[in-house]
Amino acid sequence: MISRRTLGRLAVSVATAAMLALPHMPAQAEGSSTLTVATMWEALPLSMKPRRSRFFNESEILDTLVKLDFDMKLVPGLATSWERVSPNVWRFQLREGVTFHDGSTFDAEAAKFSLERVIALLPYASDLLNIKEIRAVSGTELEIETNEPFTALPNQLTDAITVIYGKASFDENGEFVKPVGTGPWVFKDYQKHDRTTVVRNDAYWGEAPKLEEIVYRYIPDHNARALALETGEVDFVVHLLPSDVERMKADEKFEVYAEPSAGLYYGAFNAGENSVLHDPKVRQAVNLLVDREILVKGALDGIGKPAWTFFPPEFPWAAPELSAYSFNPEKAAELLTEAGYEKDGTTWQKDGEPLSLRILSYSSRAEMAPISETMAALLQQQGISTKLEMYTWEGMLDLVKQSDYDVSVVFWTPEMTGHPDLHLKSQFHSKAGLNYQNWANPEFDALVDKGRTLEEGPEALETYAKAQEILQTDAPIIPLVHKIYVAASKTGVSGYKVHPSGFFYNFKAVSKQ
Amino acid sequence: MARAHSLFRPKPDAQRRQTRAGLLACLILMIVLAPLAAPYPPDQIDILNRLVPPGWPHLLGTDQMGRDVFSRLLYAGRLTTGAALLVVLASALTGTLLGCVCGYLGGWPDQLLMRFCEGLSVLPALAIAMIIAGVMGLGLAVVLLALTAVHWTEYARLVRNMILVERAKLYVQAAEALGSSRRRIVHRHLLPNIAAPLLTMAAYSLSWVILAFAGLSFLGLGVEPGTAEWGRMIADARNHMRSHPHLVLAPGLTITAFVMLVNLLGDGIGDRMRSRHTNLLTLRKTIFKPRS
Repeated sequence: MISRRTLGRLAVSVATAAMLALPHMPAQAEGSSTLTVATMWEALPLSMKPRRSRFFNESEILDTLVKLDFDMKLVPGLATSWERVSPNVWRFQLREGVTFHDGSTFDAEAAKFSLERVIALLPYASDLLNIKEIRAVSGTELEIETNEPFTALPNQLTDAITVIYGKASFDENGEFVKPVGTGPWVFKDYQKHDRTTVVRNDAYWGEAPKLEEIVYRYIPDHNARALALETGEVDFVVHLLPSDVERMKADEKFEVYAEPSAGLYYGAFNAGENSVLHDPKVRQAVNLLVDREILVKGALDGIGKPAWTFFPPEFPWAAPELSAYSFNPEKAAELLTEAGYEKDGTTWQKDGEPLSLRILSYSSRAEMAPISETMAALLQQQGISTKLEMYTWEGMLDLVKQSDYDVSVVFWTPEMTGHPDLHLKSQFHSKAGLNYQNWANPEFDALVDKGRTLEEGPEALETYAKAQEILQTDAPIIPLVHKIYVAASKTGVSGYKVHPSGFFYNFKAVSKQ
Repeated sequence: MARAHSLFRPKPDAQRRQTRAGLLACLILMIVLAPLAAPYPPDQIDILNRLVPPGWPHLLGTDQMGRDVFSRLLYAGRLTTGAALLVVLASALTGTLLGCVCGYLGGWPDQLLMRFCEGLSVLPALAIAMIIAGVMGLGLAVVLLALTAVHWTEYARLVRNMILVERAKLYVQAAEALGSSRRRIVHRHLLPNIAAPLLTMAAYSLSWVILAFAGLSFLGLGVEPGTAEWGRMIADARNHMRSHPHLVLAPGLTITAFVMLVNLLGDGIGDRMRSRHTNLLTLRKTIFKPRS
């Protein structure tokens, strides 16, 4: 019986292997010109939802007007230079002689068309870009007029959702069909829940890629993804489990890349009146009660940087002198006592009710459960009772929008465009569409509104430093971990470097033996 | 212990059965006495001593948060088996009650309820339980309710069919002729006569519910991440499965062993029942009066 079953399984796996191998025969015959990459998220190239359009940028099927280099400095993309010609107007000089993958020409009209399509199709884009009007002055000159003086515009134009789509990307009704861009990689094929294939664009305006083809395999399970690399099924893995890092580093067959990149795991507090975290003293106390060193060790095997402030200290805009938190139960006890709580034995109470937090998170990222669980456990040790619930992202957001929570543990990439405006304005401003935290601080709003109008310089730095100080002391969040981006490859794959924005593979520099 | 042994008639393989019963009894005893048997509190975090390999004083090592795996296994057993027992009890009571009503009264309530049961039983129970739990939100109570909601039909169908068989028999007709009330007939005559298969079923159903409950916990329904529960322990250890396989194996093998033993107990009861025509009265004798 068992042997028959084993035989059956063998037959199935042989058949599957044969099916998988067949379409690849030609590629394999050419040797090492195809790189197979296993990803945690599905690429979904046939949709341009904001989260997914990141793939177009990170895979470089499409280009942005402005790009970020490996030091997070602005560098030319499809625009070669830019200047602010009046407080509200930016003028971009566009690259000449660039064609889209379908052969059509890239010019100011094309850029205008694409940005207008993006703003029409993605509601978040108009908040991000703050654009009043886009004008094609000449074939190579694009003028963007903003609603108010807006210095963050070139930075925002590095955001993946501003990638430039060719006209052929849309059907006659203006709906998105497939990505046709100017990037070094041309979209070739997509198989649902399985893979997305891109091939080299020989007519690319920059340095052409070394590889012939890249296959993005969708393997959401973290153990399976690492295993795919170990068995040789894929050449490259993005988002390795922290627990696999040490093991694979020690193995000569693999190269592990672990570098800091944009990204913060934090607990977003519900500052509304129905939550105990309405009181800033309680929010500060929670910040003092979680030892981030232990958290990073326990939840992430040490792969991450303990976060005591919103921006990591290396971020150029990070406030230099910030009243950072540290693990300090004594001070927390003082604050809780001031807030009217008393410690009855091991638990904090007020009017006979224990201080209890309902913590929500989502399970599609493997790190969320251990981070939330460790935070909850550390709070419990300090006498705050917790109730942790894991949902899907949508399920969690539903409860958050109803204000039916105390803490939601989330991951965002606030440093992604190299400018603090991105996250401070879109998540914490009291009028922001994504501010579900019921937190409103007029002083903070004023600073963030002012910051985006100021030229880069001491005044802008100081404005954002003040905003960060408010974020720190009024504490609508508890920063937990600054991300360390982890990827791994077979040895023989060379030229890869972790991009600090966290959303850029740069595989055009990669080669494989 | 003597009572547990006496459940099994001495047969050539009696010794084996005694070993099994003994093993099960040991497991249950350790689970019940978890607070005494466990060397550490199940939720005591000790990050500096995380991922310690099995040995002394941590018999099965510690997990990624430095919690003692052995202690967690014992406490988890209380939660898992306790929850499973609750579900079995609730399902058996509901199912038996409705099964009796259907079997004895017949007519449209019977038709309606049985079609409903059939409808439910063609759908995969675990998937339905997941949908119910998904709609009603997270929480232990919700999962218990969801499992009961899909499980009671098994009892209802069994009881109803057996009642149909029994009520055609002479002793029931005699009781009816004597003018006994329906309630009395069901209570005094029918129920004791179907108790034996019901008990066998309960043993099998306990093992199914344990697996289902652990499965749902593994998927993140029911208990919070970090709770000492067998299925949840496997889920929490998944990220360290490659480097520390014992973290997954310990709860996994415990579930397997427990479910197998409970199944064997069911087999034992079943054999015993089939070998003699037993009703509740004789069953009571076999359990409570040691045989000479």
